[in-house]
Amino acid sequence: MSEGQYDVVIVGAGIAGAIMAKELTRAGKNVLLLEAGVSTDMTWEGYESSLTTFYTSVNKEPESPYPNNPNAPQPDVLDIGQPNGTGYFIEIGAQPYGSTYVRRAGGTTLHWLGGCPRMLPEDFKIQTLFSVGRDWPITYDELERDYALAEMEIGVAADVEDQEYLGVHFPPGYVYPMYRIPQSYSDQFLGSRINGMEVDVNGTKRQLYVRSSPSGRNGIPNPHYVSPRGEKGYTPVGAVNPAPEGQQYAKDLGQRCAGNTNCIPICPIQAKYNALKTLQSADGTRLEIRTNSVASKIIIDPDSGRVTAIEYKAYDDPEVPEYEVKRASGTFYVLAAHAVENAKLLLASGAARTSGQVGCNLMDHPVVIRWGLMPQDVGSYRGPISTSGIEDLRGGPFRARHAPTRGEIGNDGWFWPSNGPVSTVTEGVNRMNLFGRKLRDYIADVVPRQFRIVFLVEQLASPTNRITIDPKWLDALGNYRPVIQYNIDDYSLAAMAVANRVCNQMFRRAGIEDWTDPNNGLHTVVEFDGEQFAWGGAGHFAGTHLMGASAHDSVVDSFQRTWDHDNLYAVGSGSFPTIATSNPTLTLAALSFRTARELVRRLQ
Amino acid sequence: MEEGLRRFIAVCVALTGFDSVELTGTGIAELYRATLEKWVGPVIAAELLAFGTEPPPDETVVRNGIMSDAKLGPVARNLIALWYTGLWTPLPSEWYLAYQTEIPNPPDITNAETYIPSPESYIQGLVWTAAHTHPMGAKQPGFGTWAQEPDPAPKGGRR
Repeated sequence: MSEGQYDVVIVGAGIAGAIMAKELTRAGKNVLLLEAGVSTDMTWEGYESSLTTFYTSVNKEPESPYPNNPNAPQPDVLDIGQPNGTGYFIEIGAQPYGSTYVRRAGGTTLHWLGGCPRMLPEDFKIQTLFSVGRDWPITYDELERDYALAEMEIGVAADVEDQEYLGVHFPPGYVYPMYRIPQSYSDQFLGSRINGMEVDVNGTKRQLYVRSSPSGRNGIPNPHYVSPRGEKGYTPVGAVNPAPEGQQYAKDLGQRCAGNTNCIPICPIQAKYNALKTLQSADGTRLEIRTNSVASKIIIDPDSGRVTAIEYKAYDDPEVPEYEVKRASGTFYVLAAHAVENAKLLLASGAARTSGQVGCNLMDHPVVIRWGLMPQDVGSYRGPISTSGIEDLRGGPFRARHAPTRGEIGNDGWFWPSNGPVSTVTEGVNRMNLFGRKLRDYIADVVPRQFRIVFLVEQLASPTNRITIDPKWLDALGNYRPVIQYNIDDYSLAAMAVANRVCNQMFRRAGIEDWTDPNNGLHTVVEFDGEQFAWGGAGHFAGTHLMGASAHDSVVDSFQRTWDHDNLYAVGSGSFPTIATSNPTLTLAALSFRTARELVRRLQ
Repeated sequence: MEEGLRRFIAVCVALTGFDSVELTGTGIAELYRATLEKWVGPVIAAELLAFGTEPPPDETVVRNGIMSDAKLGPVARNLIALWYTGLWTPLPSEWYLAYQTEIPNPPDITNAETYIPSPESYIQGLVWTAAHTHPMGAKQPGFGTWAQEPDPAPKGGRR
């Protein structure tokens, strides 16, 4: 294939770009995929090298296996709240933005948790129902089949019976590709103490349950599975291992989760889904992937408003800021580079300007973090990082007053809240002056009881939470760095306070010794009504090119086509008008199927 | 086993609460002995290794002779952290100032940072064994194991 022959040029080799590439090539379309970062993890050997990098990283934060690439820089958890110039983001808002992403082939699915809840039907129409936020231009029912396609592609493990709550529904007879991942002993213990506990949320009474979470990780295939396309059965997809037949040594690895307790930042066996799996199952004869190629500008014909090319900077060595400017042309263009990168690229190109909303409405899930000691050994630090959640506060009439919230129960002890168990060793040795068998006994007593729960809170789209660009802040290749203005409003803060009170009740009922310390130096702290909360980001970026029903107040339509440019699509969670309370990957994957289908239709 | 290594392990048995079979079984004792010598030099290392008696020193000897000692205490605490977590944290510059005459060919500590000497250091961290689990990202226990009631972590390991 030479330049100009592509049906579709896609920017970004994360999950959205990979699904688009797979669906389009399998429909006989020729695709060029530009990826800003490196291709390291696309081979088994490269993936293993990322694992080794993780082992020797002192701080095992989400980015630790995937070192920063100055030519395609990325945010890092360690830079949050640091002075501007330290990290990738330039922060000008009241609060630092608490989340990060990965810029290399595979995208942030390399270090995602794997949480795959669907959005609630009511999440698509919160303006209509609760007079807050925005409505989606599509409904749950319109997206339902695409959810099922996304669950097939990711390989979601869950039982339908667990997931039918607050209006979430499935077609008759539907089963997920795999049975639910077993809930951890810690989850079971918590459930035995709190299941059925009634909470009162501003007049809405709810009973709480520890519920199995749908997961993008391999479990036992459900023999009754039938895909939305009529294919029967499901075979778990193991590690990506492009090699000649007979030499795919890692091919069968990762067909079951083995409990590495390391979904974030790297599943050693790829039992957890990553976008490279989708990429490898695209039709390789119709797909050209160019990594080390940073899209820098969308070239637009001023008369027709149509995109004529994507300009990109191709480099060899991540550490050397030398590049060649190239152009890629096709019939259609898809930005799938991440909510922040899509917005940056649109802004840098003066594209999609009609609504004035590009870069605006940046959302995340501010997360209230609580931790404590269970009354008995629950076997902490075992299993996938999370196997259960508390879903009962995700929807309800209280949404007119404050945000809904979703609880995510950890199996990773105090790793997130306080860098456990390393901090437990430090405490034992340096403060308690323990050594020898007494130290070992102390660890044996405390670490298996360490427990954390976090509550993810919805944030509404607000034009003042936004990404902008500024010629003062450029990266090594002269591309813009994102300037972020971010804050958490009272609608979300009030829900954080609710979540905090629910946690207090839960801890008392379960007999959990509260060790929450918002001021332990590892978290950003917010106050509401005199209460302090430790909070962090969830890695759930959304809203920078949101979809809507009109070109005047939204950037893309319900197919993620930019209103201003007929052949330009911006896909991913940047298109979400509301983030609701679900982890966004499943929904953005579903939207990718919807957009791919639309492009295939338009290319006929 | 070479006498220096035997002594090193004997001291580490007293410091960590793990027996010599467990420590030897990690395969990283020699690396840790080298790490110790790299940062404190052979003279101070030998002073610490002198406690590597057979049988290992009892708690009082370790508390009086090592843990409360201004010179050996910080070294021993670092060594415990290394064994438990795989991390070596630089000793404070005041410590180096105080004992520089006892460190021939002192290491350059100007840009010294906390580090993990090898991938195995992380994987073999004793904290995971003490807590009756596995290092996050290694030694995978297998599908569904996490759903079972944990075996109680044995107090003080095998005695």
